[in-house]
Order: sequence, then C-alpha cells, then structure tokens
Amino acid sequence: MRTRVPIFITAFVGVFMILKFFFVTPWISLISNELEQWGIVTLAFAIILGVLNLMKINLKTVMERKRDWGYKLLLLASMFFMMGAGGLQWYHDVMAGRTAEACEKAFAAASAPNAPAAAQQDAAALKSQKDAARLAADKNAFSFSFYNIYYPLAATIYSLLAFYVASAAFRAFRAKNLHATLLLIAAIIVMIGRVPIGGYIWKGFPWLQDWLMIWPNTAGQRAIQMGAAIGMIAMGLRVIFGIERPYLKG
Amino acid sequence: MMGSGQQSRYQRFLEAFVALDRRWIFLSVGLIAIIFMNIDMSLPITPSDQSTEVYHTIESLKPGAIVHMSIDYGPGSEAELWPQHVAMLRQLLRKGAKVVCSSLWTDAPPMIEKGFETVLGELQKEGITKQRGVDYANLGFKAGDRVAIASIGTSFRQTFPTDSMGNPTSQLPIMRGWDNYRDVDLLITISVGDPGAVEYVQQAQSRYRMPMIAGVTAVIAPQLYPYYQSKNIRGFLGGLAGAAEYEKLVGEPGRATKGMNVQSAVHVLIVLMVLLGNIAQYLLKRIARS
Amino acid sequence: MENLVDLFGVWLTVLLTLAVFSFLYRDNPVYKIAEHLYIGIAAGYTFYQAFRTTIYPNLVQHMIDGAQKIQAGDPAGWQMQWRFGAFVLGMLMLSRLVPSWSWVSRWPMALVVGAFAGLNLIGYARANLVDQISATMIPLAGRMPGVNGMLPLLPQASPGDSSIINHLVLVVGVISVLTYFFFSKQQNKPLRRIGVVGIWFVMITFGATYGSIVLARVSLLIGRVYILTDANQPSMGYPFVTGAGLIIAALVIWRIWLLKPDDRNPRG
Repeated sequence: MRTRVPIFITAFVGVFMILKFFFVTPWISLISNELEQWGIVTLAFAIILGVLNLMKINLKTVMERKRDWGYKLLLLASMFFMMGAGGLQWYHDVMAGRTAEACEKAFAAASAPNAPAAAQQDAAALKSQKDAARLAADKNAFSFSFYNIYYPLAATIYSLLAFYVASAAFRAFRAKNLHATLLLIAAIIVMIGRVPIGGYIWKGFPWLQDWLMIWPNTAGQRAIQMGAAIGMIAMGLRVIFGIERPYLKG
Repeated sequence: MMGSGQQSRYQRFLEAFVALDRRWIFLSVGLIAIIFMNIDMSLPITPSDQSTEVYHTIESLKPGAIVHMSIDYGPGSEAELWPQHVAMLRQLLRKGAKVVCSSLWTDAPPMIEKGFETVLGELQKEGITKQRGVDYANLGFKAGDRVAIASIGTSFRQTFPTDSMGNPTSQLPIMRGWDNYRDVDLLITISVGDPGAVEYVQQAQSRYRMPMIAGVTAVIAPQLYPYYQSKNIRGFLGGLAGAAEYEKLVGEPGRATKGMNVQSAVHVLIVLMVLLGNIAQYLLKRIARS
Repeated sequence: MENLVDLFGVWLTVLLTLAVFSFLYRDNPVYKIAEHLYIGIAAGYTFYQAFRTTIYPNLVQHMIDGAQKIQAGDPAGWQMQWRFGAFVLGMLMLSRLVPSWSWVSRWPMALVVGAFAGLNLIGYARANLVDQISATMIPLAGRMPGVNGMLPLLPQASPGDSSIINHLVLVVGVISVLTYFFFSKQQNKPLRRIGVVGIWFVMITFGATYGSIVLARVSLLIGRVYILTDANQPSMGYPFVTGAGLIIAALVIWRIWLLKPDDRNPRG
C-alpha cells in the first residue's frame, strides 16, 4: 500500500498525459482531462496544506510561549483576519452578482411595452442597490489589506535584493581568470548596454548588448535548455517506470 | 622607513576599501535612486527587435480577435511588469480585441483587476467603453501549474468553471463560440518565473502553434532568446527596459520611461563599484607580490 | 470618509515600505513586525484564493452541478461525480498534518509527480529539443529563405539580422556547450578543445544573465522609490519624510534603550 499504490498512480497518470498528446480519441481525452482536473484540485489542496502547516507550527510556538511568540501571534492574527476578510469578500461578490441579475431582470420588465410605472421605479431602486453592492465588493477590508499591506510588503521585500546585488557586485565580482573575466565583461555590456545611458556613453553599446543576447547568449541558453530537456525526458521516464520515486521521500 | 610607512598606510586604505561596510553601498544606492528619480535626463530609448515585434503583433490583430492574457506576477515584481501589463492591455483594448485574463499565481488576480480598472478609466476619457464579460473577462487564479496550462489548452470552460467573481464562464458572452487554444488568436503571458512564459511555450504554444508574445522580468528574459530565435514566441519585453521601449513604441512615455533615468544612474554606480573593487584587489595583490 | 481611508492606505504603504527597508541597517523589531505581518496576510490571502477560485468551482460546484443533473434525469451528471476522486486525494494530502498518517499523502503526491513527469516529458521534448534543434539547423553560407540575396559575412546594422558570423556563433556555441556538458570527462583532445570553447559560451551566457539580474533587482527598487516619492505630497503630510523620521526614531530608541549591550556591535 505504501509504495505500490503510489508507483501505480504515477505510472497511470504519467502514461495518460503522454497518450493524450499522441491519440486524439474521446476516451483517452476524457480520462486525461479528468486526471488534469484532479491534479489541479490536488495542487490547490497542497496550498491549503502549506497554510495549515504554517498555522500549526506558529500556534505551537505561541501556546508554548517560545522565543518571538509575540511576532508569531501577529502572524496568526493577520492570517485569520485575511481569511475572514476573504470570506466577507466572497459574500459581497455573491450579493453583487445577485443584485446585478435582479436589476437586469427589472430593467427588462420595465422596458417592456405597456409596463406599469411602478416597474420603472423598482428598476431604479434596484440600480442603486446594485451599485452599492458592487462598491461593497470592490472596496472592503480584503482589497484594502491586499493593496495597502500585502502589496507594499511584497514589493519592498523583493526590492531589498537591489542593495544586496550591488554589494555582491562590489565584493565578489573579480576578474580572477579568463572565465571570470568573460563573465564580468558580458555582465558589464548588458548592464550598460541595456539602459539608455549606454547609448549616450558609446553609440555601439546598445547594439553590442543586443547582439550578445541574440547570438552568443541564445547559443548558451539553447544548449542549457537542450541539456535540461534530455535530463527531463530521462527523469520523466524513470518516474513513470517507478525507478525514481521522489514522492516516497519525507 | 618613511616609504614603508606610506606604503602600509596606502595598503591599509586599500584593505579598508575592499572590506567596506556594505551599508555604505546600500546608502549610496538608495540616495542615487532617490536623487535621480527627480531629475529628468531625457535619455534616448531605442526599441529592440523583440519589443518592436510585440508591438506589431498586437497592432496586426483584427477587432474581435480573442486574446488570452495570462498574468503570472504579483506585487513582488510589479515594478517591472506592471508598466508592460498596462501598456499591452491598453493597446489590445484600443484595437478592439477580446481580452480574457487568467493567472497561475495566487497574488495575480488583484493585479488583473487593477490593470482593467486603470486602462478602462483611461479609455473612458477617450470615449471608448468596454463591458465586463463582453469585451474582457477576469477568470482569476487557478492552481495546478503546468497541469493547468495543459488543461486550458483543452478547455477554458472546464478549467475555469467560473470567473473571478463566481459568474459561470459558459454564460459570459465573451466566451461564446470558442473554448480552447485552437480558437485563440494570440497568447500573451506576463510572467515572473515558473509557471510562466517558458511553461506556456512548452505546454501550449509548441503544441497548438498559436502566435505568442510575452512580457517577462529581466531575470527571465535571457532564457527567452532561444524561443524567440526558434519563433515559438514572436517577441517579448524584458524587464523595465523592455517596458520603456514599449512605451516609446506606443508613444506614451510612462513610469518605465521615467525609471530608466534611475536605472541608468544605479547601473553606472554598480559598474564603477565593480571596476573599483577589481582595481583595489589588483593593487593589493601587487603590493603583496612586491 | 473615503478620502480618509485612502490617506490611511497611503500612510500604511509608506510606513510598511520603510519598515522593510530598515532591515538594511540590521535585523530589528520594526522589520520583524513587517515581516510577520507579510507572512500572515500572504498565507490568509493564499488560502482564500486556493479555496475560492480552485477548490470551490472545480470540485464543490462541479459536483453540485452534477448532482443537479442527476436529479433532472441527465446521465452526464454521473460522470461529473468522478471528481469525488480529487476530493479524496485532496483530503489524503492534508493527512500530512498528522505525522502517523502522513504516508497516505504519497498517493496525491504520486498523482502530481506523474502528471508533471508526463507533461514535462512531452513539453520539453517539443519546445526545448525538437524546436530548438530545428532552429539551429540554419545555413552557414549561400542563400537563405527570407533573406534577400546571399547571406552577408559580417553582422548587420540590426543586431538580430542573419549573417555568416552570427550563424556560426550560434551553431558553434550550441555544439560546443553541449560537448562541454556531455563529454566533459572525455580525454579525447579535440573534444576537450571544443569543450573549452563551450565554457567560454557558458560564461558569456551567465554574465548576460547576471547583468539581467542586476537590471531586474534595480527595477524593483525603482518601483518602491517611485511610490515613496510619489506619495510624498504636502496634502498628505509628507508621508515619506515623516515616515522615515518615525522609523529612524524607533530604531534609535530600540538601539539605545532596548538592545542588549552584547548585541550592539553591528555586523557589516
């Protein structure tokens, strides 16, 4: 059960993914399409697992009052807050959808020939309800938190790398031998040629940069990608035949 | 005696310079970025072939063409990809293309919404109005990585039963009459990594052979050159520089163009630091040898 | 009211941005607060997205629709119930949370691994092997389809245009790097020499990638500086300058009064 079933599942799914490409028959498509859907749902559960695991670990730290438990409490509080805000967002979306539908129907009824005057009033009232529901769905705690907390934090955490890349360039980028010198020259050509100042310093820089990327870089990247492809194909076959079993680890 | 004293002071200076506290480097990078953000240098921008191809591919679309735009980035790389996203979307909607957006990254759906909101606001001022579900749609996030791409190739409706707001996809007017990549006129991916442009080439373009263009971060750009040369992708924008080139092509300088000043200044600083670091190291080595 | 919310949003954006930047000085409580807030909000947000836009429509709604079809007498509804398998696998995936049951999660993992293996096998073979090999089969001299007249010897004004030199660079580059990868242990002299050329190409490629990485990282910083300077309006109370002052003040207080003397010596 512990090893044979996973080996069978991997082989079955892997083979159907390949068969789908070679045979356009309804039953193969049917099975492989359904398996793809299973894959999508399973991977969504993997995301849920990741979040629940994070919750479990941090809850433990907070309960046991371990080091930095205050920060972990903040983490948990913000996590629960965002989940709650998400639930509210969902509710608002459903309400906005319903009122929009009702509004559409009311307007259709009001525009019918010899429709009573009350129908038009109903439609107008529903229109304002619809607008309010839409506004509630667009602007709420969820969207506010995304745009004003998550957005700046994510963007800034990644932008810290600019400082470290500059520091690394100064400290570690040395022309020690021919290979390192080639690397350094290529990097400088790209760094200067790719920005407008390159053309200002020397007209040939942008051309050289483009040429370097289109020809020598393409050659190197292509060979790397072909090598990776051969590796992937071999790996794929090993996994499908059950020789390689990455899912048994951990 | 004097000479050796001087030499050791010189040596000490070089050693101190090589081992400079990195926070001085941080500070200089930060200051240069802030200063040059407020200086207009109006440096000339020359669009590359790859960017020009992106422009022509969108420009050649007929009104009503179906475009799948996969937005695969979040706020973490917004600085590079947002200008590309908005510039391409603006051109697509102006051309009258039907734009269907989706995402393989969890934090991308709000970027899709923000993109539509921004561009539709601009177009409204020009007197162009677009309707959700008719001219454009946001199908939202889908888990599954490349499995999702393979599934989209077979059926949009099966992969995305609802749009981002929960409306059934099959009832959206924009989705009527087509359902998979054989019917799509153009595939665009704006991506930051895996899954992104490379995975779309592998799982979708190389199979269905529809025209494809991409907007990627500068980190991914070098990997796309082989696919560009093999014509899997018609063109691509690489990073903020690519976005600035595109802004030049569409004749609407924006955030990317402004950013190029700072980019130039910081790059010059980094190259100078690399050169100075190398010179100092070389001089130290010479002293050690002598 | 809406203006107040917007103003609060701008201030929050600026303060959180500066809080993260405070890490450049050294790890500190202000940064830690921002970091944990980020992880928490990101986790909650991701949970919502995974559940609402994938699990609900592709599993729950799909099965409800199927059940409704069965009730209406449509046999297609039965086929839709196959999706129950995905639910079972999803639940097995969550078994990882219970250590004694975690081995069951191998089953859904096996499905994912199998799907990736199959799809990658085909995808890489097509896009990275077949298409790339055929794009490397290019003429090195003479006439070329799409090029008017003979292939020129030297690179042209447009860097992407075909020429004998450019094509040679591409073909020699691909072959030499592949030789370097696959025959690096061979003692055969000619192959070793080709491999040396291959290393040069690899170094140029890595150099180009490094240069591009610098480009990308600096762009991200530009994005933040743009936001900070753009938000620094008098009507909003100069959030950037005031915020920077607040964060610096917090750091000074922390360093002077709260930090233990042993930790004061900053690491460079």
